[in-house]
Amino acid sequence: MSEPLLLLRDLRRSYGGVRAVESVSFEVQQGSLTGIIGPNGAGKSTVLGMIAGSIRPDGGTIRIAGAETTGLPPYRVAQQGVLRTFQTASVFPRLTVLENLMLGARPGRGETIVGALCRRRSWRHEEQRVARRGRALLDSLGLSQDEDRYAAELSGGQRRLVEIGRALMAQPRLLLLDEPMAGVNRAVGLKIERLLAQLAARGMTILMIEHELDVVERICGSVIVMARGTVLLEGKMAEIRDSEQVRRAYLAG
Amino acid sequence: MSTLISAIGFGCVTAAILAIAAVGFTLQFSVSNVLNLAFGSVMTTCGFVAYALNSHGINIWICVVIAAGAGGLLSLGLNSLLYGPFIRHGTNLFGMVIVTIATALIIDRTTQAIVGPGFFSYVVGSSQAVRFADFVLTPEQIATIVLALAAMGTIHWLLRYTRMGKSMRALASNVSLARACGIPTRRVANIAWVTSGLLGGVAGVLLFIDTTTFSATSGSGFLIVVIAAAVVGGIGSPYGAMAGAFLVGVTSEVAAAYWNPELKDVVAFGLLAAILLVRPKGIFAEIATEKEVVG
Amino acid sequence: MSAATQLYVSTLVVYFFVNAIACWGLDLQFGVTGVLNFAFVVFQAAGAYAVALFSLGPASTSGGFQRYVGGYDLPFPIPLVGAMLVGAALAAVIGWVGLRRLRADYQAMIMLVVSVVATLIANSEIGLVNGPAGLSLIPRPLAGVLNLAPARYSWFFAGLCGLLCAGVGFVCWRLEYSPYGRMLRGVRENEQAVEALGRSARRARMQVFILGGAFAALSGALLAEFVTAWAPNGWEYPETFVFFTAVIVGGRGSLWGVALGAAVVAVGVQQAVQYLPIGSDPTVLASVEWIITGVVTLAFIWFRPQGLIPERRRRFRMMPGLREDPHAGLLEEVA
Repeated sequence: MSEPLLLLRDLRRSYGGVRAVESVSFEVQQGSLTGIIGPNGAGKSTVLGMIAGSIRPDGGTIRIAGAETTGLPPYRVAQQGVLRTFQTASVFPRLTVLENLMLGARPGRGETIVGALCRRRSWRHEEQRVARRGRALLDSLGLSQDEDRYAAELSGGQRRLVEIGRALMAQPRLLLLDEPMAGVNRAVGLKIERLLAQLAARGMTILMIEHELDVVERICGSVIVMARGTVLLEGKMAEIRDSEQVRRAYLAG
Repeated sequence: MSTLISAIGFGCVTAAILAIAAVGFTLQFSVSNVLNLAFGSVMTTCGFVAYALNSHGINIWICVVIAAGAGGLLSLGLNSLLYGPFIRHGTNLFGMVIVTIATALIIDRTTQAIVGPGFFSYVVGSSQAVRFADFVLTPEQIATIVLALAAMGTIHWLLRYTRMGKSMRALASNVSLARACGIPTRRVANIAWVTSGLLGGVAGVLLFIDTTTFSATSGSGFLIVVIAAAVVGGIGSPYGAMAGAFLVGVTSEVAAAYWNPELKDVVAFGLLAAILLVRPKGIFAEIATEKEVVG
Repeated sequence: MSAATQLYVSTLVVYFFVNAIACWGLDLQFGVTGVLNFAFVVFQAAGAYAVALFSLGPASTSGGFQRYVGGYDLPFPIPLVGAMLVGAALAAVIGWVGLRRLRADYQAMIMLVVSVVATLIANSEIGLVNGPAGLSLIPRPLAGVLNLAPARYSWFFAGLCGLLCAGVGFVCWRLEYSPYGRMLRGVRENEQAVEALGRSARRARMQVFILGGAFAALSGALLAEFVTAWAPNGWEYPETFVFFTAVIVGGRGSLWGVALGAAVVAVGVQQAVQYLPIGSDPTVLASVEWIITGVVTLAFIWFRPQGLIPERRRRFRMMPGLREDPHAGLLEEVA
């Protein structure tokens, strides 16, 4: 069997004596759309943060396609092709929507001091390509009218779309989403759901935290249930739905 | 040996003044999250209030009490008439730093325009130095240390055993949680500002008694040492500020005794740099990295 | 124009160029990247001292009336280049300690402390840069070679400053209107997000800290060469605040705005104060200048935080004649 795209072994993290995550191990296979569910305080966001490098684990290992990334700073993890979104949509308020997306693309030749100063000719063509890709993406997100607006001027749902679009600009190997549909209206929520389903169909690997069990059942191929900092169950949503263990965890949580 | 001991004695006096100021500065910062760079100007203003009274023949220790009251009022006024409106107007953390430094400039230079560029001194009443084991200190210096201990005790009691103190600590660790628990955030913040001003007023007058001369910009100059003490201790932690004040005060006086006295503050800052390299958030870092400001 | 007027006008022109260089440097840090460098004036001072020590002869030859280290007697333009390098090196050291993973306002505090320490050292280590009295008789570049009348030399120097100012402006423009500038603005707007996109915010901050330090040093070097003297009381920590006010008033992140701010605040206010009906007491004049600066800052943050000329919104136009990119639409059929 080939190496899984993401592998977690015995991941631990505590905050001032409180164990937020305790010995979490799971794998995410290439091309799967995996959901993490669980009651509040189960440690879902902490696990996501540790994968992305923004939270330092106390122990355990994280491997991306076989290469260890444990303890790397967030930008180094992102350079490995692991892109994330945040629980509250995190955009660049005083950058235009198109700029937000363009900043998502992998750094080009114009993103160093020397490049910006001396190689203008070479990066200007690169910029055109990135802008074109950004526009195409905005088009498919239904935001092409808004490309010159500042992200600060957008609604909450639109910001969420911009944030996801920005991550997609980097052509991620693994996309980490922290409740991508929280706090957006139904229409945008449905749009995001369809987008994720299509990305999964094209073979993108996605790991998402989600509260709505119906959404998880519709789009996630596999599900990880967390409670009190540990992994309770793994499997297909249909199997998990009827589990007594899961019901109890939710009621207790 | 006696050089070392007398240096430690002076260090304790400096540390006492520093502790009062640093606790005031950091307590208000931890509660409201506004970095008040006009704190030194509050100290100076109180120093001049005390000077005005003192030059009319009022005893300096009564002046300390009145100056403390003036400091409390001024600090509350700054928050409710200037900083608060700016925060509610939408000025961010970033902008607030600039707002407070602008305020400091305006207060200092207005004072300077009124009193002139010269140096001033209090009439303290000549007194005999007291020998205390191997320490030789003036009664004012002993009074300073006693006052500082009393102030630290009061702050400790306030934070640990009163409802208000508990509210302050709650606000310092998580604003929205504190609000959700029904803590009147704005009132608690105002009281933190008053407390900070009271301490600033006391520290200001004590500082100027200790240094014997002062001018319109003395307080802001001292603020830098206060900041160093607060940062060394872990900014936002009142107990850290006490520890930081002691460390900075004693080290700088000992260094002054054995090295160039003009460079005693440089030693304090060298300490600051060393600690920042090892522990970027200070010794007692306990506050969250991202916090909402309270107006 | 009489020679006196010429001298006055050319002096103002020099001050404008020098301040514009400094303000652009600060804007790169504060306006574009969001670094609150309250020690900015230290780098200006470093440049001034460096240019003096590189261009003065050894201290022993000056009859011992001032004491300093160095004194290399180097010809133009080596002292200016050296000053920029010193500014950059100092920024690298201070940035390494001060720009740790801390909130922007903590960094501001630490920089404030750095600023005060620097003045303390310059004041008390007499042998370093002649203590509180400062350095004087700093040679003016090419003065001996050109042998011009004062007013004409002053115009020559203004031209030199203008040239260097244009160079700095060009560098800032290239940087700010490029993918690099976009990344810097990203650091300012949302550090966490920029790191999640694979860019190191600390690295970016460090780079602008060093670049800004070099520009500050250049401005200080030019100023010191022009006035031929430099002392610690000219660069106490509130001086940094004048540059901040200029950047805020002009418009953070806007090149033209910052140049305008430099003209209005850093040069204009100082001249205007002299015409106010408040007498000629130097203390009162200086105080009023500071009070005006403070009040103007508060007023702008309240009424017009974006400044007189706000940062330009970047819009993209496609260049004509570019081939269709087959990989362009990743998701064209979605939604």
